[in-house]
Amino acid sequence: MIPAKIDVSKSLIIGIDCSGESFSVAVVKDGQCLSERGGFSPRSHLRRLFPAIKGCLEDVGANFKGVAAVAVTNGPGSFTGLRLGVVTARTIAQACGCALVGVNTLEALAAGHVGHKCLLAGLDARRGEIFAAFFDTSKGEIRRLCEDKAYTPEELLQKTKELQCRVAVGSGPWHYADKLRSGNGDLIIGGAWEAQVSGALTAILGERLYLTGHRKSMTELAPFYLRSAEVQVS
Amino acid sequence: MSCRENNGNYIKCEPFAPEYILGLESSCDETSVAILRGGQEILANLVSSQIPLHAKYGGVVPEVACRAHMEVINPLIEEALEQSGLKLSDLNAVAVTCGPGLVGAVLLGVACAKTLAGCLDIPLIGVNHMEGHLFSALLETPDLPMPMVCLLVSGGHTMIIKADNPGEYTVLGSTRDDAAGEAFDKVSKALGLGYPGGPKIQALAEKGSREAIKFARPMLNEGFDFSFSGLKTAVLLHLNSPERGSDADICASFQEAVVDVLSTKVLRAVRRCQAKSLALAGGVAANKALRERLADGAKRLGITFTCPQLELCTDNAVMIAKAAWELAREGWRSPLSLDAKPNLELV
Repeated sequence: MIPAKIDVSKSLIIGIDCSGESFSVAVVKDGQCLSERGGFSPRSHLRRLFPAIKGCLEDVGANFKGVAAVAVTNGPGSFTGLRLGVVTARTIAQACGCALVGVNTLEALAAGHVGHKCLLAGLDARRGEIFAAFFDTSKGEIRRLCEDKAYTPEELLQKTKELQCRVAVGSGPWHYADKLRSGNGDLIIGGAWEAQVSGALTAILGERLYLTGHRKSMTELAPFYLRSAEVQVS
Repeated sequence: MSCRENNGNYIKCEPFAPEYILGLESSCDETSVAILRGGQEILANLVSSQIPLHAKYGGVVPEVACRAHMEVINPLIEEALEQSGLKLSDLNAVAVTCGPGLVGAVLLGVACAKTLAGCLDIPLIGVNHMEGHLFSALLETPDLPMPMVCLLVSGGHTMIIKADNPGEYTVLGSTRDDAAGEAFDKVSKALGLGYPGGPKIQALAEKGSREAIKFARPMLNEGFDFSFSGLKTAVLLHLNSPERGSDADICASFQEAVVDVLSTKVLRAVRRCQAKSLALAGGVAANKALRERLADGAKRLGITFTCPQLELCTDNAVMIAKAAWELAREGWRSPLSLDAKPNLELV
């Protein structure tokens, strides 16, 4: 049951995702999203991110003093985006003394799509690759079937057949939709509206991690890149 | 000053004088955090250099730079506070480089700075990196007579700037191709001396004759713009010539050509503007031959010469905090929507 009045002076969780071309931030308490802001903003994440976080708190009449933890998707995803999210989360923790929690981007994405025996969650990784993982969400919980990995579309297609995967979501499958669909007629691919990672789900997953003691120090919470920096030299 | 109001990175407010300013600089390959008291006293100046990380590539690799900034930026803030004996709540303003530079690197500093300022509810002041270098002259000589002409030379820039007042600039000339520091790096790489090139070439030049090889002085008599790409090519071609000579002679002669071009042009600018002072800033200001030549030239013209101490010549956050202090006194601050501008212009 949702209480009639929510005390916003404490135990708030901020959720941040800017791992892709859209960003999303939210303020959550007890698994309930109180405010969420964001949008498609390639090249303007930096300009919009912090004002959006502050705006979410103002929406509910709260301030940074009421924040218990900041949860951020720390990878995989766009390298610059991950760094922006992580440095913002770390600095909030540093300035406000709240806890820090890292949420896997693909798990946050999968959390929006329960009820699938095998769900592919994937992000467009550029350079002809997709950062992806497979999940069983049939029981409402997110059960991981394999580790995060960078796949070529061909490798990913092969894997969907192997695992008899029927549903694919995220910017990765969406970007390579034609290729995946023509190679695996059974695969349903989510549209752009299903590709977005939610700041609210990030905060909700983060709240669970926070309450179960999975807190990270400022240096422990680092971006999870899944690709070495050397690759970018060429 | 009107350009400040129009670029979205500044808002005009009541002039203020922040007692403790935390400065952040992450525009290229150094992460720096500084704390400046009363606009003049340096309480902390921490610089985490990435030179060893980039040495094997012979230059700065943006993704490698960004990853390294990421690791150190928040811990450096802790350390700077500790060194100054301050708490975050003692800070009165946060200053940050908002351009020009590597976009992903500038972005990290700006994200960190605006989050700090927003959470602590204190003013945020974005600073143009070049403006920081200009203000570093005032750290050394606070009452520098104006107008001042400044030669700003680094791995990324070569500019002659005239300042009528702090905050009022005219760019008189800049490089049309390579920066002077870049030419040092490329010649050093070709000679197999390593990265960064400046100190390596300077050391070897001391053992050679600066008159051994007559390298061309590009655009010496044309305006205030520079071109170092041609000089670099001339040196590279010379390496295969039958009268190659020693590496020391090549270094000495190359350095002499660079110093000659830089000093001739900036001293001409001083005369043209009837400047009352000459400042040298940027990483290449560490070059002894250049410092000596400009000091000598200024003395002959009877004007003040200033050059920040070496650690304030290269990229650092003290100069960013200093610039922010001067901007705050003029009533400038930045909104929390402050953006990173990789190609930010000075004026």
